[in-house]
Amino acid sequence: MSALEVDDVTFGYGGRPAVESVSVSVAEGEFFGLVGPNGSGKTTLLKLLLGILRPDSGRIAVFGESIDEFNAGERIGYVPQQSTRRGRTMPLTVREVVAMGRYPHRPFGRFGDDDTAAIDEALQQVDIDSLADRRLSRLSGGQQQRVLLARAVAAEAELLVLDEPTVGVDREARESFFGLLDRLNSQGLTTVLVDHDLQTVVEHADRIACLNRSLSYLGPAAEFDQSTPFVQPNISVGETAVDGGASSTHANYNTPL
Amino acid sequence: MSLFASSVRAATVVIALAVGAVFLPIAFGVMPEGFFEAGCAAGQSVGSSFFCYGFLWNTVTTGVFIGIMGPIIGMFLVHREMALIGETLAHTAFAGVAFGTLLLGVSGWDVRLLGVAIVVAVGGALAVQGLADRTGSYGDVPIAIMLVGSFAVGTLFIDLGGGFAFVDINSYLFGNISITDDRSVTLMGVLLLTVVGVVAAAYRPLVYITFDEETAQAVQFNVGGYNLVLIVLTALVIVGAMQILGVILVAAMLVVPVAAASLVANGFKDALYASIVIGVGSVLAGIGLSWVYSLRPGATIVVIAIGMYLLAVVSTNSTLSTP
Repeated sequence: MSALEVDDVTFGYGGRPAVESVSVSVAEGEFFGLVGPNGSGKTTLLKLLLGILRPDSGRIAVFGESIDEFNAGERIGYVPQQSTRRGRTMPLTVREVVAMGRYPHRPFGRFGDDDTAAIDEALQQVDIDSLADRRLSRLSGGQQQRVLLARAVAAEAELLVLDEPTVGVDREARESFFGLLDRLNSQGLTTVLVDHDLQTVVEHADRIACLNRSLSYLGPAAEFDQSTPFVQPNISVGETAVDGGASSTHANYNTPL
Repeated sequence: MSLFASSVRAATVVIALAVGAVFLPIAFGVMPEGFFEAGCAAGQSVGSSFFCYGFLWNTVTTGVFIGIMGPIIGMFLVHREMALIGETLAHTAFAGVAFGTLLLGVSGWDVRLLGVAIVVAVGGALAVQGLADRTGSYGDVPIAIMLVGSFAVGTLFIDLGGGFAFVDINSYLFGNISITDDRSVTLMGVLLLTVVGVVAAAYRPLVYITFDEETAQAVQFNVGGYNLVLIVLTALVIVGAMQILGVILVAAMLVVPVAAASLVANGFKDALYASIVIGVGSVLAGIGLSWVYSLRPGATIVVIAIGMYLLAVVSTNSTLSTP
């Protein structure tokens, strides 16, 4: 069964199309990368996958269930861009944030031993147990993103979605973060990464989709030609992307794999 | 646990015990007469007649309830950058009071102004939420329009209802130490139990949504539903607090204790407890000083709370935006 199925999805803001006729399938355990220039619809597609936005047409299924009926939030982990979070001044400790991973499992009532064990294990696995009682807002950007990753680990999520998780994070912290992602993915965690940094995504993902409203490439990361001028505005469905000689890998970009 | 955290938790327990043993029985009119007589005698033995006045027990009870409810709701508003919502709903509640005076003037009905204020403020809260849903944010402009619009409509209602002849609007604008009668304090008791009960039940989803609304949506929390609950609770707290603090200053009890506590506490729960301690402390000190020096209670309470905030700023050598 696929972790994610996107079938001919179109969405627009006030009649202005942001995502057009996109079809993608992500297998369980896969590391899937979504790239594209600014304004290409990456974040919009991500919000559609998570059910935050509803498509104008087409169908999205998560673990085989239509997104409209899907309510198993505990199976999803999400690491947003730092800048999208409102509660940046909240006096939360690292442990309190990681504990949020258990909230979808237990929105009410006392935490059980299994919840506490999952929180402790997530803190250790992401190597932030020494920071557990520190205030989140006093940590560096890279450390804060690790905490959000630990929240997803504590949730024991089966699908991890990340939206440009290391924007503004220094190189060393980035490498450490992606090393951690690779480790979690090798343990079977399905991973969908949206990032504008092609090099990073190609290095870590199994497959890549390149989006510019519609898909201009969908295929193995190893075959993705990074010299492709993928910033092609208004590529419409059915057209062949200008791919600098790699047309064979780019020709079937709208075909679900 | 740090000394600060354990002190704050101990103070919170004391407040909870006092509410259960003293203030809720007063609010619901079940406190034995002997308690008030003993309180009066104890006050007189130290040279104060403060506790010999029945209305002051109502005021103190209402004040303590405000000092608890304001910060509880404020913790979720302030950290979502929604502090202005409180001020807006206070002005909406003012329009409610004014509408009540109009009804009173035109029909001669026995209208409970506080009741009308609650209905109108909740209506205002739903309108604010509708605007937020439509615009995708609690933006400055729609909130500002709602704030000034409510005040303008309220002023027109007062004029249409015969001016200031029927009710002392000044008391609603600036707060009044003697405005809370028996029925008002009972209503406050009901509001306290409602606010504390709902927030305790929905604590985790509310914290999650406050911290990271987008992820809360992704993990399938009913964000719209919880936002609605929060804003309706805000309207209820505002109307309750308006009696003592006044329309102009009421938002302070939602913002200032939270801002102070968020600077000094480590952890959301400890900040919540600390903000309640600061809120109740400011209210009690403010009521006491306003009685002794014949000052406006709202202004006195707010100045004391801001003093505590400045103390927190100095003691942490930090700012709220970069705690």
